[in-house]
Amino acid sequence: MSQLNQGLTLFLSLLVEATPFLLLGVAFSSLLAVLVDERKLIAYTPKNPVLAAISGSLFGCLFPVCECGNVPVARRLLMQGAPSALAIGFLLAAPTVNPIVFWATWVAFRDQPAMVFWRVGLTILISVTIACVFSVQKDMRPFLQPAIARYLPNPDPKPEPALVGSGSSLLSGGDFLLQSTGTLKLDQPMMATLGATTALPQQSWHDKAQAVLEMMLQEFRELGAVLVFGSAIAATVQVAIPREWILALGQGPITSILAMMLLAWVVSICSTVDSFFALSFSSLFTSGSILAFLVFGPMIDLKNISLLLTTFKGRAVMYLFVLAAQLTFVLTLAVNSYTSW
Amino acid sequence: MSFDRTARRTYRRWRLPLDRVALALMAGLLVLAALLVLLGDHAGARVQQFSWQERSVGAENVAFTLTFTRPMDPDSVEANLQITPDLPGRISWAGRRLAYTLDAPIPYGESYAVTVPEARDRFADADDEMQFEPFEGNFQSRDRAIAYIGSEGAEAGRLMLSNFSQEAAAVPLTSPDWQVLDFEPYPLGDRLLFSAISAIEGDPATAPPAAELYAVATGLAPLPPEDTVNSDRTVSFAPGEMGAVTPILGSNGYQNLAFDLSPDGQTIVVQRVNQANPADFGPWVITEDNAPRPLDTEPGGEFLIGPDSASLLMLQGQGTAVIPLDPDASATATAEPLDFLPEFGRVFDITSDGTAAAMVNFNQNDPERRFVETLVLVTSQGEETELLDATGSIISAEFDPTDRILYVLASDLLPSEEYQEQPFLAAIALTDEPQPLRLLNFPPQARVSMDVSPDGLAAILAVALSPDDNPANERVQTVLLPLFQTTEQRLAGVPTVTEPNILSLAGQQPTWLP
Repeated sequence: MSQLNQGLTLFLSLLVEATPFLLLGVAFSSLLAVLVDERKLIAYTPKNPVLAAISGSLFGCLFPVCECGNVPVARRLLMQGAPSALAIGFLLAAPTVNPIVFWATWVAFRDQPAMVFWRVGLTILISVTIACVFSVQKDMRPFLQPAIARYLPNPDPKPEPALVGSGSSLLSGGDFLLQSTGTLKLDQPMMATLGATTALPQQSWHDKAQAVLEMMLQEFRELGAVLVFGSAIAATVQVAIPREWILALGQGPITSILAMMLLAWVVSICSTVDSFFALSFSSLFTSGSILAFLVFGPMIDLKNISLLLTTFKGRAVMYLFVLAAQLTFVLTLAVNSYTSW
Repeated sequence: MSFDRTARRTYRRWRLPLDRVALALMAGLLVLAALLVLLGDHAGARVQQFSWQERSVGAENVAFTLTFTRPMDPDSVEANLQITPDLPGRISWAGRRLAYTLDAPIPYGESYAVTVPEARDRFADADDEMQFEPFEGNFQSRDRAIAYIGSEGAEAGRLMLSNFSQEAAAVPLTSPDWQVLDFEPYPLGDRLLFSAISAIEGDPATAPPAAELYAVATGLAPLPPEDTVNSDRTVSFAPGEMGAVTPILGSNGYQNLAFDLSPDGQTIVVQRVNQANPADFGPWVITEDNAPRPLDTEPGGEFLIGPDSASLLMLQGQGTAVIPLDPDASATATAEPLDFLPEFGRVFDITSDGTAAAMVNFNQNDPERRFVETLVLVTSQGEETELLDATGSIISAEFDPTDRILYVLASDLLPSEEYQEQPFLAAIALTDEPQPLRLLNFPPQARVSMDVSPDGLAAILAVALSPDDNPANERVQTVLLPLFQTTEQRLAGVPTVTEPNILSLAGQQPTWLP
């Protein structure tokens, strides 16, 4: 009974903590979809995959979201036709590389200000590396869930005449917004709309606001349900595997890194507050293992894997997860073994 | 759907560029991780920060901290931590930070070295070679120095500084044009606040010389460590070239009588009387940022600023009042006393934590003891403990810096026909049953002043005697009295009788710099 209580408390606290950030992420995503002309977005994003990855990982400074809010924004970036390096860089780095997390880490580790710089530096390094790996795939569609993939333009237009001339758009599924000037298909990729028509129908601010609101509601319903599911799994695992067991695993310089990474993955704590959580372990663990907790936790955790699966196929999530874990382990072990601060 | 079919086909073949690159990188990282694990740990732990490094430490600094880069094995650090010369204390840990709390105030005038030649972090195996960057840190305690008002020859009336730690001759701080009346050091010993009258002013009959207040730099500029215990405590600190004088308060038609400097050095209270209107009499408050203002309270006698630097203890009427110094509290209305202790006619000293005070009861309500003065310890809870009866008078009393011993200067009435008092110095250990221990008896009718050093190791006394009871022929002798014989006595707070040393310098009111 007490375990049920504990599980319920954990579940609700994860949900309460994550929901506002998911809402924020959904709001950013909807604003991005309706208000940002993606011709401009594409024009402004760097073509070089490394530069795209770097700019993606710095995007978090503009959209301060944690690891629940970043998924809808990254998904939207992909759907809007942004380079995959940019979207992946944003997905992995935004929860850490943003002003709120800077400040929280600075306050928590006042005695070790270097922690802030290591945290941000390693996060950017890992995000850019993984984003570059993903950028080798020109056509991301095989790695995305079909619902997302079908909005993506084909980078090589020859073999697939796809959407142009595919008959009445009303025959396909999706969300539509009925308005006086005609029907606007909300989840239609803008590129496709542009391919068919030369200009967007002029919308009034009122229409745009309504579109943003509707899109927010729809995305929030969809991702909120997934978040509930993810939080439930994370709470169950935490009840089944007590934190003490995980911490007991890490008594050596190497195992302590693994233990803290496992802890970060299981507790699924939001990146805006995790530094205070980690601080309580700083007297028992090496700086490197605390750093592993702070770098790995915001990238991938038990709770947001379900959110990632709404966008990416299992194989891509596996790559994200394994590469992030391996890079975190190797880099923080190097920090532990070769630096002292 | 042709797209789905193609995707499934390519998926089966695992030939997409992302698969190839990701799998290759994963394999590479696996090798790299294995390599790192095999190469082992190359960055030992080290001391990241030592809070007293290159600092001048005073009696108010009770603990230093050593912060390590890794969680340490406490036993290995505690076994290897060495302080030379020895400085007894207790070790406590908070995470990766070690705190060393001294058992007694640090002895002044010493240089210390803190070393941790080897230690083990929490993750190292017991049989591993120790990977620890040996640590060596240094700090000093402040100089042992006294200031006094010279009494002989060219020193007469001048403020003098004698620094025992630098073994230099006493140097004058003020010019011979001033006759110094009284002085008090600022909390870090960087300056002395003094009152003086001009020694060369015209006819004293027409214009009586009025005392003015100045601050003079001692030339000492100790760099204090950051106070980790009271981090919000700031003290006045403005070192300057030795002898540089700053005016603090002119006369402006007033006579400046007694004054007191607050423990934080930021507030001065001066008793002033209007030369034209003697009814205009009372304490004035000077703070660093504000112009002098009169404190609106009943006129009173002797006074003392409390250890919190925010209240004034003043003899008013038949007792002692505690008056707030806060300008907000007294700007609107008369400063109401916070407390009034009707029985006690005098306050000598307050413990550093403000919980107890040494006061005198003149026994005016007790006909049998009317001619006996009683020294009483009064706690903030109102408990009163009688410490000492004196048939002569109680001259002064001062707490040891640990607040465990009270040193008292008092006098006995000698059984002879003419009225003669014999002063003595006694130490009272503030235990459950305090018993005075006489440390030193002085010649009859001697005028004695006393000051206990900030580290509590010695007292400096000025003994003034005149062969014919004429103050003009007074000769002053300065005596240094060690207060303990062994470190054990000092740590236990047990007063002991020791041999006094007579110093070659001669001056009134010798006072230790804090």
